Formats: sequence, structure tokens, C-alpha cells
Amino acid sequence: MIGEPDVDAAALMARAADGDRGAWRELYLAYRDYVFRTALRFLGSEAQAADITQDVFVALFGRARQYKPQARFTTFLFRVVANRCLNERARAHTRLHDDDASKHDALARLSAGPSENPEAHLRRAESAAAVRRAILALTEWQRLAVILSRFEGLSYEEIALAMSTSVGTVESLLFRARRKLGELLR
Amino acid sequence: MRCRKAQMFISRQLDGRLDEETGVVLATHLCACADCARFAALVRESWRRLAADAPAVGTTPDVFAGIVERATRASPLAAWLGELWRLSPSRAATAGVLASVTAIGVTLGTLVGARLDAPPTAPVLLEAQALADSFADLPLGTPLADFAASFAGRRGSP
Ligand SMILES: [Zn+2]
Repeated sequence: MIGEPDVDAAALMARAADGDRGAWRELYLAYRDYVFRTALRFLGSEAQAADITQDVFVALFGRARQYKPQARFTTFLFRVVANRCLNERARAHTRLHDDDASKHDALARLSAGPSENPEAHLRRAESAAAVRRAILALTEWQRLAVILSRFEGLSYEEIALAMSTSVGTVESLLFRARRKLGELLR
Repeated sequence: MRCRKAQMFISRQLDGRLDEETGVVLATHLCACADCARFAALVRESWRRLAADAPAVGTTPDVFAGIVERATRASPLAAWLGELWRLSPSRAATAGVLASVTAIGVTLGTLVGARLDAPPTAPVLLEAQALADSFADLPLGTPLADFAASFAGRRGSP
């Protein structure tokens, strides 16, 4: 995983299981960005990503006792995140539309650099929008595999664990996703 | 090497999972096959753009207060059991008592549930959705695509 926080997650989880709010807070501060940005990239909506972030940590603290320190904490965490994202998508399948104006707010936000001219800024914004649309055009499973691989740097094995599937399926999902992204971003 | 296999290997290579020997075979294929060479260029460029051009993610909103509120009220029973567990002088004995209570509860729940004949809520089968995704490229209406979609509890693919 890219830039894993330098905290003793196993010790914090043991304290979290006993209801220690200080441990909850430390875990939350260390891992909230991973949860939020994964959900945001997956769902494309800031409000929904915030909801998912809440759901994930509520589930995490509720199941802190089930966490076995033998497994890497991030694997455990991404499993919960993956589950929540896929369930949310399945539940909200019909009410989500790519052209919903209220969505993508944080993802679409791009600040112009001090030396950047308006044309370059516009080009960058258009390219970012195309990438965002392409990610959202993937199937849920392909999208999640791409996000975990490309943005979080998880290995096939870690993605397979997070998505409760096999390494072979992860490879197949990434292959299909790349083929589609190649068509969409040509 | 067949094109389909070559394209799979291109994807694998992007993840640094292609061994050197296969890499040489793939390179030979790409020299001879314009379609696969084009595919390789397209896939590599879009994978690069994905990271380079992805929109920035804003600041994560602070939802900790809501988490504490929900985690605390989520299950008074769970909180009560947790407290019992924490204070229990003999955890083995407590575990035995809790297991017995759970077993009785589950048995009663099953009996009552069967009598009420409540419609079951469909569990989200992750494996089933993976299967459906594997067939997602099939044209809608083909028997296999229908099977995969129905297996995952949904028809078609977004
Ligand atoms: Zn070929």
C-alpha cells in the first residue's frame, strides 16, 4: 500500500475493541483519507463518500474484536471499504447517474497553479473530467480493482483479499478494465 | 502466441508480474502484430493518464463525531455484552454463558422466523458479482450473460 501510516494499528485495534475513544480517534485520523478517497473515486460523490467513511469506521470499531493482528490491518480495512462500496453501489444502482450535477464536487475541483495560463488549466480540467468519467464507466468490480491497484498500490493478492475473490479474478478484472479505459481515453 | 493471450500479458506486464522469458515472447509478438502493438500503446497510455490526470481529492470531511454517536448507539446489546466481557472476572465462564444464550436465541429466532415466513433479504454475494462482471462484456440477451446477471441478482451491467 502506498504511504501506509506509521501507527501500531494492532495495538490501537486492541484498545478500540475495549471501547477506548482515544484509539478510535487515532485510527480514524490515520486511515480516514484512504477510506474517503477510495469511496469518492468509486462513487464519484463527496456526500456519499462521507457516508461510506462513517459506515466503515462504525463497522470497524464494532468489529474490532474480530481483527486478528496476524493479518495486515490495511487488508482488513480495505475489505470493509470494498464491501461497503459494493453494497452502496448495488443499493443505489438506480439512483446514481454520471451526469448528476451534485456529484464529483471534490473530484472535479482543480485549482490553477500560479504560473498556469487559463488554456492549460482548462485542458487539465477537461482531461481530469475524462479520466473521472472513464473510471465511473467501468463496472463496479473493475472500478474497485483499478482504484485499489492504481491509486492505493495494492498487490493482486491484497486486492483479492479485500474483494473476497481470487488472484485470477483480479487479473481478469484489471485486464478488462484496461481494455475499456484504453477505448474510453484514446 | 495468440493475440488474446498477448493482450493479457501486456496487462500483467504493467503490474510487473510478467516473467522475463514471457516478456521476450510478448515483445516478439508485438513486433509482428500491429493490432496488439496498438492495444499495448493504448493501454499503457490510458494507465499512465489515470494516475497523472486523475482529479485531485479534496480534504476528507471530519465525520468522527457521527461515527462515535453511531458506534455507541448502534447496538446497546453489543455495548452491554462488551462491558460485561471487559469486567468479567472469568472470561471463559462468561464466554460459555454468552454462547448458551446465543444458541438459545438463534434456535428460537429460526423457529419464529420459519413460522413468520418472512421473505429473506438477498445477501450481496461478492463472488456472484465477480462472476457477473467476468461475463459483463457478453451481449445482453445471450444465455450466459442472462445467467451471470441473474446469478448476481441484477440484469446487465452499468
Ligand atoms: Zn496480436
